[in-house]
Amino acid sequence: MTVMNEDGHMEVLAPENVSIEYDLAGLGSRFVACFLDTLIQTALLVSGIIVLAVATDGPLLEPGSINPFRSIAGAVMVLYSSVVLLGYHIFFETLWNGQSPGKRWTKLRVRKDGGYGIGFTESAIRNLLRLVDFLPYLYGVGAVVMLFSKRGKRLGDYAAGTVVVKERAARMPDDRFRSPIVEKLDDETVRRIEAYVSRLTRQELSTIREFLRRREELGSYRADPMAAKLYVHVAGRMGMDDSLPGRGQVYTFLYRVVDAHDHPAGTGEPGLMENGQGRGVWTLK
Amino acid sequence: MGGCRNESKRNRWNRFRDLLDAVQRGGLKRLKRSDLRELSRLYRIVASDLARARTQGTDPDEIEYLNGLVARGHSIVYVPPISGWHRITGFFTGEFARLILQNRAPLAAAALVFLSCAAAGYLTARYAPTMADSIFPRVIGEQVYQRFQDNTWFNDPLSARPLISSAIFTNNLRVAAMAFAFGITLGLGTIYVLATNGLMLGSVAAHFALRGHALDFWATVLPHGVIELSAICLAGGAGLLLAKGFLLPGDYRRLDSLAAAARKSARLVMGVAVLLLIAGLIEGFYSTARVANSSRLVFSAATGVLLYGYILWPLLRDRMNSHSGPAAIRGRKRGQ
Repeated sequence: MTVMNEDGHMEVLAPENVSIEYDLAGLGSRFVACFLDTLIQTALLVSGIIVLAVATDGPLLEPGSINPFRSIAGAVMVLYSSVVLLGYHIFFETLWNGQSPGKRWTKLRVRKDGGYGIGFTESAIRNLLRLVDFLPYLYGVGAVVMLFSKRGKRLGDYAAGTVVVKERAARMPDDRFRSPIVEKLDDETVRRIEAYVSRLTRQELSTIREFLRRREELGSYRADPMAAKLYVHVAGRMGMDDSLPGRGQVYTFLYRVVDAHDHPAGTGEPGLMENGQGRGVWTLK
Repeated sequence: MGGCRNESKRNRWNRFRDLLDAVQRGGLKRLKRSDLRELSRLYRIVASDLARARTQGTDPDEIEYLNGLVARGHSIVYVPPISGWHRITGFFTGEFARLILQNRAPLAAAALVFLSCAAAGYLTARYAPTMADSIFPRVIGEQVYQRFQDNTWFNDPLSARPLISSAIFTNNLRVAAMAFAFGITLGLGTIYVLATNGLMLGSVAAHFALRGHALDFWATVLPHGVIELSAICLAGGAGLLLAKGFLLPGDYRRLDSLAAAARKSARLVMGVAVLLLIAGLIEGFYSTARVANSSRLVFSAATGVLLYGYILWPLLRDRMNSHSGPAAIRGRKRGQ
């Protein structure tokens, strides 16, 4: 199984010989998940204390002796708190296939390096190593290690051989398997794209690719201004005037650029298919 | 491209998604047998849909969508074996002891660090008290001794023991978890945890010895100490095993070797947790009870025989079964 990765994602070759792409979770979303989990843990601890305090109302120490009932209740409390503190993550990650409540809320999931689901042992390792990642305060070690890690791993992830990935929101593509924003580009533009795509650097192409991959997740409110910026830049590089066409044209242009690079005309490779009726409409071959 | 073919494609994607949702809601166990079969069949079909969509460079939205479906399916179809009760009992009836025997080197190193620091603590506190102060403050030994003098140790009534036991257990569990986890600092943190605990034991023992209460001390510590201190050494050994996996990867890639060592270490720590639970119960209920020193020492010896008999049992059994002796264990190790 090959596992290769570039910034922010990881590609895994499944046994079915198809590669699956994962978006790796960043520092921010993992912090939010962890914060939520800590809130829940605190709530569990506090409610436990309250229940126990109400149930065993009265002092632990009585003159000359200890109330045995309250001593047992105290023992239960001590064990309960260590179970909540140490066992919370292990319990949920094992039960929910790599998710804790906080991770479920933020749509993150722990997986093995090969994309497989994790089990008890992996979860136990990565959560016992929290003790080190947490040092000196508030996951200082973990955060620094994550920043230097290609796959956003803290020490616990390295030891357990796990990664934290984003669960993408699976949205069914529209009825005709057609990107809703695809529009017709005029012939001159198409010609220029095919002629000048080789001028673009790898960084420029991967930026466009990355943007297109993430546009759904960004939402049009944030994605549209970025698309405009990219369009102006790329059009400039191709010697076109940088006046901005309509929204659909901008996105179509960007898709077209990536496609022209991946499937250069004349190589016989299947690229975006344009059917007879509507040029620029992408359909299944 | 016929519209009806796409229709059936869409249907199977929807069906696959519904099955995935059902698994996410209720787990695999709730799924009907026929649904389970369909899930694994659809997984393979949708995976090939994804492969086709990728090579044909069709609609990015479609690739994105299929990728998400296949990723979800992949994590459900390929899961590690679910641990049930039989695996847990299997761990304690053989695997734990074998793990200890197979990883003798780091475990022995941890015990050596602990014991030599305990000896150093004892010798300095006993024969060079001023120097001892700069290594490990005598105040702690003094406090422990004071408690002994005031007789507050054995005065705790029976009713307090559940609380004492659980507090001791959780504290020891924390020390053990730290000794393991700090193995990731190339073992330095583990050595620190082992050394401080060893120094503490040695210097407190020296305080009692200086005042002629050595026997009282050991008779109080050993009934639970034999198991507890062995468990702490095992946890430290698990930490050193982790460090060894990272520092000496052998034929493996360094990170793979770390992960493989971590799996073994974590299983050792699981066993350690149970040992500490037993030690905590003994400490809360027996060590602090009013019992004669002689019977305490007999009890300690019995725990030692039981614990080390348990650990060495696979070795003895193999030696009895075959003449190759320890080679049997080494052979199994190679086979893993």
